[in-house]
Amino acid sequence: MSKAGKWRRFIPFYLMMIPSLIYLFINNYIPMFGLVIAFKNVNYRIGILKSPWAGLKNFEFLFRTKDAWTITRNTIAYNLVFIVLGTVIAIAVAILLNEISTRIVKNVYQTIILLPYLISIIVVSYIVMAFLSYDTGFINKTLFGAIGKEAISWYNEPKYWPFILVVVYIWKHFGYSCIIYYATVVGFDRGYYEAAVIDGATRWQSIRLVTLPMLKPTIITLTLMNIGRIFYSDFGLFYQVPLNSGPLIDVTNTIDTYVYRGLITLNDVGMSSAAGFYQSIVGFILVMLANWVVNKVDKENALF
Amino acid sequence: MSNTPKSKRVLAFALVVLMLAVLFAGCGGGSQSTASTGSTSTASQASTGSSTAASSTAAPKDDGPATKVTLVSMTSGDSSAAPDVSAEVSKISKEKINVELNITLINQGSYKDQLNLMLSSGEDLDIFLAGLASPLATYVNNGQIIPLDDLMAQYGSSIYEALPIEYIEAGRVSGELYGLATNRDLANYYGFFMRKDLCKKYDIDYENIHDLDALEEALIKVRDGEPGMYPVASGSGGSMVSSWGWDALNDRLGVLMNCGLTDLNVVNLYETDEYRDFVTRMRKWEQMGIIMPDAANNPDTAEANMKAGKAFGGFGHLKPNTYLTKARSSTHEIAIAEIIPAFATTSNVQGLIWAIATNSKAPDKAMQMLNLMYEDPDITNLTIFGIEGTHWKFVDEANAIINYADGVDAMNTTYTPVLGWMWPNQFIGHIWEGDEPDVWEVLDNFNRSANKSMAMGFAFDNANVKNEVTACMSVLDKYHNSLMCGSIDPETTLDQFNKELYDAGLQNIIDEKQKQLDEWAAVNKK
Repeated sequence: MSKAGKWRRFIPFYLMMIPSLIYLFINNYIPMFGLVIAFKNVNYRIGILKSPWAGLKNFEFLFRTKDAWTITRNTIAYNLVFIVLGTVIAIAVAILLNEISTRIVKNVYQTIILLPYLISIIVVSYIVMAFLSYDTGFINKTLFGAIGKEAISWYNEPKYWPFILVVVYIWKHFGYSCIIYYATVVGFDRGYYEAAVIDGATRWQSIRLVTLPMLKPTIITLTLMNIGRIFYSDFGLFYQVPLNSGPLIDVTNTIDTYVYRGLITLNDVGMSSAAGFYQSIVGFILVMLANWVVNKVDKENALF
Repeated sequence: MSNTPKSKRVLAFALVVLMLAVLFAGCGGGSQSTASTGSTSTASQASTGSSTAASSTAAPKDDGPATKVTLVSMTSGDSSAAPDVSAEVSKISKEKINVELNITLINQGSYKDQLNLMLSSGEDLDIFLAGLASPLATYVNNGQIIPLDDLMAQYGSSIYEALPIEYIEAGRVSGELYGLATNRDLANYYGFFMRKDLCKKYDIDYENIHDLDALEEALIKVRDGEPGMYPVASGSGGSMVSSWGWDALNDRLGVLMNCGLTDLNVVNLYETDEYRDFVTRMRKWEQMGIIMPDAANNPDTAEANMKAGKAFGGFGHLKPNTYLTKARSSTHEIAIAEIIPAFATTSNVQGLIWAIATNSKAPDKAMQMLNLMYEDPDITNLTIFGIEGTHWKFVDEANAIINYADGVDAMNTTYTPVLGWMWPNQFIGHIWEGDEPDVWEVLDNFNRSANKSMAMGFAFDNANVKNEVTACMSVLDKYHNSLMCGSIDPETTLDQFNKELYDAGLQNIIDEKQKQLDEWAAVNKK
């Protein structure tokens, strides 16, 4: 087929693309103008464009104290754990779901797994408190009471919180990615499995040798997406769930909570834009890096 | 893998991206909306500029069509009748100053966010209630509000009558007047509020409790006599009390001790003996079982815990009719021990203050409207309570005592009347049934007679020390509430607390504050 003919054949597809391109442009590209705010000393009276330039001054507050190390460490470390554990658990559950043959049971499980994802984080913080409250909480009162262990003041003991936060995060979020994996697994051609059974594969072998390799592109895509957000943290999880407890700050302070704490009184759009700018730039670089690595290792599955 | 058809993989990928797009659409929303409002604001800014010029030439003659003035404030419940109220107010204001008022009420919870959006997007907005979450100086630095000195001189006569001059002066930022305080409790005293019935039961002479030693004795009686009840509950968010005799100078980073009555020496609060004594005492009380457990993370108010029968009382910033307001929220009769006598600070006054937005197309009319609101009782009653007959009725007309209209109650009213203190001048309005008939005189006298901090009228501008303030806020969050609630031991943490504050740059903030305060004092001859 000639080049022009090929082009003509795709015209309907390009036409179909136009609405979403317009949407992308309006919603995702035009607002990029706002990035300029990160470098300005915004004064509404004269407008953003005429406001004086601030250079990199708006970024200073993110780096100048020793908190900079703590918040960066917390944000990245928690997100790494979330990505690894979240992916493993979501895939495991998705495969298990797929092994269930009764339709009703499957639907019930699916719903139960997704439910926490839909609960507001404020409600979650109260659920957590119902477990951890010093004098009325389930763990101190019922569990420790029964075995005669001394009550723990959970909200004053930083050492437990990395685990608590990970449990809460996984409980709340794995349902969503689990559904994505499950939808992918359901779409696999049953023929592969039948062939595997005929060749004498056990269930475990067909999971390991058929399902997982076919899931690889989805896993890579989702992980790359998550890496892009590794510098963001779930504000509700790190601020509301620990009830903004002072003694826990060393293990719960992330970039987002630090920015919130500092700027709630300053109300400085320049500084908050700077924080957002910094987060997205680092996310962008990390995605490029990760994609580059995937490209080296397994060209087929790279994102771009 | 390689044997999967390519098209299928593309499809799978597209699906994943689509689902993620749905997932992230929610997260991205916030930042995108701020960015896009930013872009629109520049456009409208230009148009505001030109129309200001146009309207200022038209302003002097008052016989033309009425000028529209938009007022934005907050509500704590259903206030869907605001347009009707606006119409009623406009009837009066059209006749007096040829202004048509449009009242927009935003719910308390989202007030700050929506207001910021309105201010930065160049929406029609003339008068608004400022100072709630951001200090007045922030609005000034952002160029969101205009100075009022000239307008006040021209149109503000009633405001000078309604507000004591010290409290008007406290609306200044860097020497210029930017805000007008609402007439309410502009000073506070600090102490302990508690259940009156239990005071009687344990023979507690609350009127003669003026220090923490005496209070401690009383609390021990309650602890021993009422198992299952905490003698002291913290406030919501784990704050024990907002001040204990210091003028916070806006942000508690560098304060004046002794209520700001002795000198203008800015000191680090957390190093003072007063602070050490207070938190050491709280730690002792916590160990003695006087303070509720997990006090620093308590999500409820002390009154809510009292209502639930779990608490005897709590610390608070108080005013003459606190015993009534706290009785309503705690459903118990309230006794009060006054420990730190009343004093007023700039932070108190600027906490709720009316300002005129830069967006305003007719600042002179906006000022006239504000002036009218301080002066006209009918407008005050309309804006606070709604329309007579629809929302409220007289219970005792001679004493101007009112209550909900027939068939209307707190649950079904379309104009929630509980935030009287945020309107310009509630002192000239009616009195809600249950309040003391002389409540406004008492409050007015209280304001006038309260001690004034020497730095009253000084507002700190933190523009030069923003990085330090941001860093210090994080340190404060880490230690302050926990210390105030006795959750951590000051013996081992107070030094660390101060070290971290200085590492975060507290000294720079104090130096800057002292410098500004000295300059202010020189100008104002303090």
